[in-house]
Amino acid sequence: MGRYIARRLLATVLVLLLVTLISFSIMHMVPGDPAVVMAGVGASADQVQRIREQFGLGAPFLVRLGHWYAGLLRGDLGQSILLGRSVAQAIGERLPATLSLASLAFVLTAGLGIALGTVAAIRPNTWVDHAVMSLAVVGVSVPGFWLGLILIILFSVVVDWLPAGGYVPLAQGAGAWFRALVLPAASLALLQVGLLARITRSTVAETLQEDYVRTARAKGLSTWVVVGRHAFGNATIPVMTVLGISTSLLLSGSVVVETVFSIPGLGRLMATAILARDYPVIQGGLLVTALLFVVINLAVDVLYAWLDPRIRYE
Amino acid sequence: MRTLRRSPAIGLGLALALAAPALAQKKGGDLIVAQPAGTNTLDPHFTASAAARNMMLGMYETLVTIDENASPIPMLAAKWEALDNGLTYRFELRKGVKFHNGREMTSADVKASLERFGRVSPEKQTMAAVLAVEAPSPYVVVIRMKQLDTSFIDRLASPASPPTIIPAEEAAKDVNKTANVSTGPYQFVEWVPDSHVKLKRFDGYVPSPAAAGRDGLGGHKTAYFDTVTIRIIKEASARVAALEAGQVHFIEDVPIPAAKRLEGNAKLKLMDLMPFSQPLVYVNTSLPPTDNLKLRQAIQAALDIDEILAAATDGFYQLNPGWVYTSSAYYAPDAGRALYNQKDTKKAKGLLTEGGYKGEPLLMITNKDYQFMFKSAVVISEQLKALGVNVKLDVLDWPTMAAKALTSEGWNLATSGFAIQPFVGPYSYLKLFWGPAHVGRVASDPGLDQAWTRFNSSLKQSERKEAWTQIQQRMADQVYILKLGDQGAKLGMTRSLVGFKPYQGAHRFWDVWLE
Repeated sequence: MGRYIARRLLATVLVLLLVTLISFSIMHMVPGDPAVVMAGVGASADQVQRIREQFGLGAPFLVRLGHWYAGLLRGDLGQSILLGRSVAQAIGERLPATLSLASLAFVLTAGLGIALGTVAAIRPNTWVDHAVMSLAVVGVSVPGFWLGLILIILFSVVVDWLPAGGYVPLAQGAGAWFRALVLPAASLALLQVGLLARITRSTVAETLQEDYVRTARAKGLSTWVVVGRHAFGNATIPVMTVLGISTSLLLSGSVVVETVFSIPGLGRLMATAILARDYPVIQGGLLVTALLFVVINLAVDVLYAWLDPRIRYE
Repeated sequence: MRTLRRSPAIGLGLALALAAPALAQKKGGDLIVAQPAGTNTLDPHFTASAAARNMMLGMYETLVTIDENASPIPMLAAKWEALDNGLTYRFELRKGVKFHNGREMTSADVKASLERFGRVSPEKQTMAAVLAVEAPSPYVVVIRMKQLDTSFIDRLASPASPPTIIPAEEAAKDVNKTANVSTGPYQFVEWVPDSHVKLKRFDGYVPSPAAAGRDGLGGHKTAYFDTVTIRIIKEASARVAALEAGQVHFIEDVPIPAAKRLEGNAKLKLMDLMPFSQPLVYVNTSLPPTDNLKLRQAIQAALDIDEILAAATDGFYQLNPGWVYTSSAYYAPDAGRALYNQKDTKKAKGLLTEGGYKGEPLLMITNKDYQFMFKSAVVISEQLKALGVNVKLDVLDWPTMAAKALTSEGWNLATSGFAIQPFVGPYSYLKLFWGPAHVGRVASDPGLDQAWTRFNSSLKQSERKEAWTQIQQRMADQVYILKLGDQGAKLGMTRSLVGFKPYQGAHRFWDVWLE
């Protein structure tokens, strides 16, 4: 297992190298530059040129690429062109908000998705099942952007229970942190809840048809013990796979939700950086995001082996 | 607690008492403002955006600034005079003005600040004609010029990228390394990028004794709020929701359909910022087919500006052929009026024939980041197609479009806008309407050269205005650029916010209080 993880981590380096190389090349090919964004609407060519010179934006592709990788080897992600701070600092400031949002959304997704899916599987073709599956369809179909705005109108304007946006760091109080994040996390989670509930329902329902479940029932065990102790264990592998994918989607989905709810997170940083052609921030942000994805995938693979003793990696 | 504005001069106090209605100004409260965009930097010499101005102009002050109509007035200077035919400027500083760190401002700070501004600012050309900044005594600053720059005071007063006065020790620091210290009525508390900027009242603020009340970005300023927090809420619906929910007191840029709905809300009020910006179309005169004057004139003759702006601004616009706002001392309503909003298809078709236009493709570029640019491009391209012009519309993103429009290739028409330029006045068009960086890619035009040379050689406003009128007429005659009109913006606020007045320079949260 140790050797497997080491090998996977080595492959990670290759993945990150490819991701950064591709993103660097794409950004090089996209026209437009940060100087025009910085100079603003209606700026003169003269102003733009002065900004370009100030930031050394004229350097050739290979020179910039070389500089970037050389910096990376020293652990330096470079300086943001527009933010007046290092890329590491910019990401460091925003990562807690995104991780907070994704974690809360993950808890909601996993809790609700698995619970609803299981209930639906135990009571197939009843109103409970139909209600859960309808909710799943709605969840999958509704755009997160729209849902976010509806939640704001409902919970902030109509009943005035929760803030309409903004972020409060955990250090300033768990209650305020939770109140600020519950709406964005819910709008981020609903889509994933739908997916997870569907997959949980079908897997658990399938397992409930197995002979050993019938045996367990024949022994006179209650439904909840049968499901909890016997059926669910075997259903965890597909659920875990979907949960892994969901976590990645929760991270990438934060771009839209952070914009709607005015959360200063990594997604918004990246969206702004791309629109403003802040190349070092785009590179650094993608590197961190790719790293998170790789780590999530690795974690899921390791969890497989832990959950199912039959799975062994060489 | 009730406080009344006090003025040192009895006459002024009396004038104020007569002019101002009995309003009970209240000190205290925490104002929360929401605007769509943030700033990338709070460096006092390194910002150039409207979003940054709203965040900074409560805490940063300059030697001279602009009044309600964007004309220069003193701020940290008590007065100034031009000597030696404009080759020397002498500023007398106000005494007793305190920085947020408690130290008194003197000429050494002014000198160091202006020198730093000349090194690092995107508007450092302001200092290009300056030979030396001298501080002969603690309250006198002398600026010696290499050559006459008739726009020097205008530039020094411009809030676009202001030459903020900061302590000399801060002025020695690199870009983005200075503390946010100046002399304004509010002082810096914290900045969380992409989230908010928070300011608090500076109780050591020394207002200008010469003025009766707020005047543009200067005058006698009073800070009433304990704190002002400017939050970034990018999404318009979320901004409106935050206002309706009472979580913010003031929002910028209310979408017109939402504004109509908010009008029915008894707890809120709306104000018009008209004009707010100028939608326009750059015309590339160096690339066929728009190198053909007759084709350009045909386009100019055909445009139905009302139809274009109704779509682009959701109906919130006013017609104006001029390149400065109507409040400007340089406003020249007749220069180019006859060529503006002609809606004359017959004349346009005649000009097309005269110019020998044979259906060559005309490339129009626009972007969706700024919706008014996109919408106006769609309507313009339809109007030109109806005329028989072979328009190809290319929708790019803003950085791509903006970078392309600064070159001579790959576009004939490009939608864009000006916001601060028409407010601060003609000098801001020097680099846009003249010289190698001309927005119309005009290589040379003796008519324009002559007019700008006149503008640049006189310190008399009447002569400068005449020259500016000529420039405006020439830009229209040659169709170097197409002015569409003036676009407005809606500001939304709670009814309890008193004293606020819309202003193109920035949103001012001094002389404003909560009831």
